[in-house]
Amino acid sequence: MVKQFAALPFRPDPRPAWYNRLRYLAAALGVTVATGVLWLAQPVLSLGSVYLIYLVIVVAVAVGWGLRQGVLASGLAFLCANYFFHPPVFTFDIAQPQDVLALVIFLGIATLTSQLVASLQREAQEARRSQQVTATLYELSQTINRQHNLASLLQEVTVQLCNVLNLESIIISIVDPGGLGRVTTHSGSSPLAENNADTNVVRLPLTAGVHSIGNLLMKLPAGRRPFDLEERRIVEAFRDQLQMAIERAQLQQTAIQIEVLRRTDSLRLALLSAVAHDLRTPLTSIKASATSLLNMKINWSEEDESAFLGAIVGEADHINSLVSNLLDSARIEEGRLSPHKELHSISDVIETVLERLTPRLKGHPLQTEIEPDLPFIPMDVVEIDEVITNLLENAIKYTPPGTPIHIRAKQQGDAIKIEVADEGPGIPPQHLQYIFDRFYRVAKGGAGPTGTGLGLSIVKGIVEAHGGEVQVSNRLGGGAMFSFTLPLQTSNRSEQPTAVERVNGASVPS
Amino acid sequence: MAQQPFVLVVEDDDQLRSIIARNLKASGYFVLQAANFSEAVDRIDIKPNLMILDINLPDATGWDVAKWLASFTSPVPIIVISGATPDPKQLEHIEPKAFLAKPFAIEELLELVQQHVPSK
Repeated sequence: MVKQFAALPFRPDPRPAWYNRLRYLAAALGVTVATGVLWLAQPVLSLGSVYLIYLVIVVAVAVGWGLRQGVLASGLAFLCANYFFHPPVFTFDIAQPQDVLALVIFLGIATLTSQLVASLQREAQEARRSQQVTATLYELSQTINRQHNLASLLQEVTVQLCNVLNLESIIISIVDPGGLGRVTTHSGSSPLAENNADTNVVRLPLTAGVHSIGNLLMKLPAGRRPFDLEERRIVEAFRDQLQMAIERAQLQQTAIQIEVLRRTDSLRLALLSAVAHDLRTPLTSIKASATSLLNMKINWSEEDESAFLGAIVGEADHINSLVSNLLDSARIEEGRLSPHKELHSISDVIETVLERLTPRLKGHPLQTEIEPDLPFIPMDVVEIDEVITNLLENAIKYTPPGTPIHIRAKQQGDAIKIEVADEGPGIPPQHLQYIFDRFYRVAKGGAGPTGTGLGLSIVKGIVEAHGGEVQVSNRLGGGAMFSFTLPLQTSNRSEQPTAVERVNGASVPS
Repeated sequence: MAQQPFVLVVEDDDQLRSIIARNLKASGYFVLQAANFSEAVDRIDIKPNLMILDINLPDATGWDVAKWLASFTSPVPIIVISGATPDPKQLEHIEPKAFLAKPFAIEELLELVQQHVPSK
């Protein structure tokens, strides 16, 4: 909400000559009318009352029309009083010498009073104005301090300046060397070109340190006098504040860029060490199994041998899925994940994954509910395999041994919905919205399963590239439930890279 | 079979743990396995002659393990295995007999075990 400022009360422009003449005339007319009225009321008035009434007229003229008019009125009143009311009347002669003194005193008092009144009035006006200037400056600086978004700050400030200074239009243009881009804000009745060189356009350069950062252009309405001292003060104070605000915004921007770089760096490091750890774990089993088989000192039973060989095969698969994850993550990041879709049965894919993961599912009873006769759907088998693998591996990794894992597949409208649910601790609600972000992991203090934080972001990337949606929630009875949909028909949406590009807005782990 | 030396294997990776256990059993050791810190604490009723300990457990840090070990009256010899280079301070507290970096050849581990607790 932009607060509207009242326009500054401006000192009146110099009036045209005819207007001044009119005021003198009005002053003279006022005295004349007063004289007429006094003449009629003469029988009931003393001479002293006449002087007092004239004095009131003089003050009124000074208040209403100004000092000079007041002086003119006092001169006229002096003459009229002398001519019409001082004996002998209808002459400028004065019979009594003390009356001369009274008239002169009257002239003196009338002139002095009109001067006093006029100057008092001017001072009051000045005081009001300077108070308003201060208030305006304060409000402007408040606006500048309150708004931290540069674009909206400029917008707010241009509107306010336009109102305060009665401008026809205003334009603030910032060419920013610090990465904010060019910001141009305009306000007012008519658009203003930046290179406008009209005489009624005031141009102020904006600088940050020694660098020029832009311009402030203000167009005055036609016929308006140039800025006076207070208006210039407002404009300059405002410019100083604006420059500081811009500098502040630029510094903030730079700080953010540095922070992003720093975090990206530490993310890469974290990712590298997580990848190293994740690859080393299956490698360790492979090496230990292979060296066991090679150990001539031990006579292995057939069961032992097949366990070692199974471990080698299973862990090799595991490494392969890790490498696929890494590659897919890179593809998703670059927005070039393009599924090779062919019609396939989702139950076949689920079965394949379960078969492969059997050795690693140890201790987790599997409960599958797959609707019979599900239609074939267009999908990239390798990628959907990866999605289901990632979801299951996640469930294995984050739930205590022995807790069941549920897999369901059913048709829902014109899509097939696949759910992977567990009965583990669930996901803290504050993490739910970030869970699909790249590198995001739900950390539990110093210890806990480690990982690259890529798995779920890949799930999301692949599913969205198929035109489907991913969802996560906590089950009522405890545990987490991940689900995704795959449309029965290939929609146009899936061909667009925009769906996967959103994955790139990787959030930084807290 | 009470004469068999008793080795406790604390390792969170099921696959690796079972490979190590098979090898130790075949080499004449009595083996108990623990997948995490709490399981290890549960199984320590009988004091092992040796412990093979993965320092990165899902439910404990090296510090927890060190604190737990300090509660024994006589120290249990430990062989630490880890995929990452452990914090020297943590190692100092645990005072392992040996440190073995993953991945390792199984003979390396068997030799270390043999060195500290010879099998019959």
